[in-house]
Amino acid sequence: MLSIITQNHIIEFAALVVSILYWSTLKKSKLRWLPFFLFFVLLVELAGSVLPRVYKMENAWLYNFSVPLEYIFYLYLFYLHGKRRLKRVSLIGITIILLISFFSFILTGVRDFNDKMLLSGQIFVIICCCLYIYQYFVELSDLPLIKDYFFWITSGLLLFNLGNLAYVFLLPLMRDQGFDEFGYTFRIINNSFLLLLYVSFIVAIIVLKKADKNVERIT
Amino acid sequence: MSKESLEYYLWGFMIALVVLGCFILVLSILYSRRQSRNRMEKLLMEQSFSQTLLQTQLEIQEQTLQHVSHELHDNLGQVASLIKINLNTITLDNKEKALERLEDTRELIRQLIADLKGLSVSLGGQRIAQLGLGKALEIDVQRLNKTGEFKAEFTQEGILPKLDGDKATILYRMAQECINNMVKHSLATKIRVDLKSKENLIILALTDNGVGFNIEEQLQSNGAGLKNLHNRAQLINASLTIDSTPGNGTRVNIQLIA
Repeated sequence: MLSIITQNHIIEFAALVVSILYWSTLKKSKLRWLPFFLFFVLLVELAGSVLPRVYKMENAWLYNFSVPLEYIFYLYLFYLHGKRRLKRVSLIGITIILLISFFSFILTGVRDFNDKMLLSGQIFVIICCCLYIYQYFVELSDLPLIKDYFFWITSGLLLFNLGNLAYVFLLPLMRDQGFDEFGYTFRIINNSFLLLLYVSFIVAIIVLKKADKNVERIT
Repeated sequence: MSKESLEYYLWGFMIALVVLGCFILVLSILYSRRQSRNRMEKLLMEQSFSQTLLQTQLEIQEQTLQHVSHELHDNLGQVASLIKINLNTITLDNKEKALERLEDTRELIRQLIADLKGLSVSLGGQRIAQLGLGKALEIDVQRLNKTGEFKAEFTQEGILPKLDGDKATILYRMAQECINNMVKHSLATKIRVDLKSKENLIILALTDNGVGFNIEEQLQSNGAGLKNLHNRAQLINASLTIDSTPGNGTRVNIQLIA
């Protein structure tokens, strides 16, 4: 049982717990779907861990369904927090991810992991992160950047996706060379940045709660 | 490409990307902090400007009321008394003398009306805006001459460029403050006010032939006059120079770009 639970599950569970604890703040904000998303991610990760270890089954098909949904959710967050240009880019990203996923299911099936869809998701999220930071400076917001809860999510997403981008980008070459056949290197990279990503979610929720408290105090 | 070099390539690429990400984030945070600090400084500057402007307007008002009080007592009151005496002493026995008295009285009434008009202008809240900086200074110089204690002169060269109303009020108050100091402390007999303009540049020079003073000593003492002048000059982005040595009079030069 203990070998099924990994560091990823613990940090994902921690983020879910924090989001449930602060639900009263989250439900009034643009992050109201975050606890459901975190619950979904935790379920997928647990299933992804149980399938090969307990039932000796492949789990790539599971990630072929969950990864596009995760990236669509991230881009939806950018859509909610963005102004005109960012909204447009996030909508284009969602459409492209959906199209790539649909065609790859038809052309290659669901058994092999679809890295093209992951790569396109990562590129669009990185673009949206940069556009969000640019938008902050263009808008001349009165709120300091570190007090903007979405900046923390943006930071986590930017570092997570930049960190993983190199691996996903070089994946075809690595497959040809037979490098990292058992995915050890991928796990090291992915797990480190996943930790960073969920910590950034937790910080964002706390920052949002603090801001909400200040508003309550003023009103 | 060998497996080893591929591994180096992968880690190198990944580290470069992550460092780039960190660089973007850190730079953004630093820039945001600098931006909010600048915004705060600007806000404080604006607050300080409005406070000084309000204080300046109050000081001008106070000075105007003082002037009105003097005018009512020393000038208008006396002219009105003269009119009353004239009218009381008119006798119809001597028609020619009576006509002469009436003519005198008419002249006094005309003077009274003119003085009243002058007073009503100086009482107006938007005096600088209505009269313009040059005219307001000229009136002040005329007032100095009326006292008979000074020989005051006002000159204006060039057409003044359009100056923001708040800046004009502060500049006018600075000139008033200098004139007040010359009247109170300089023991001067001559005072000059020269207003020049070259394109967008306004040069206001105030000179007296009084006893002068030691600028350093004055700045170190607790007197707020000079510090006030410097603060106000800073607020309207004007350059202020004061030349004075004991025994050699004082020259104050204020330069401002409209």
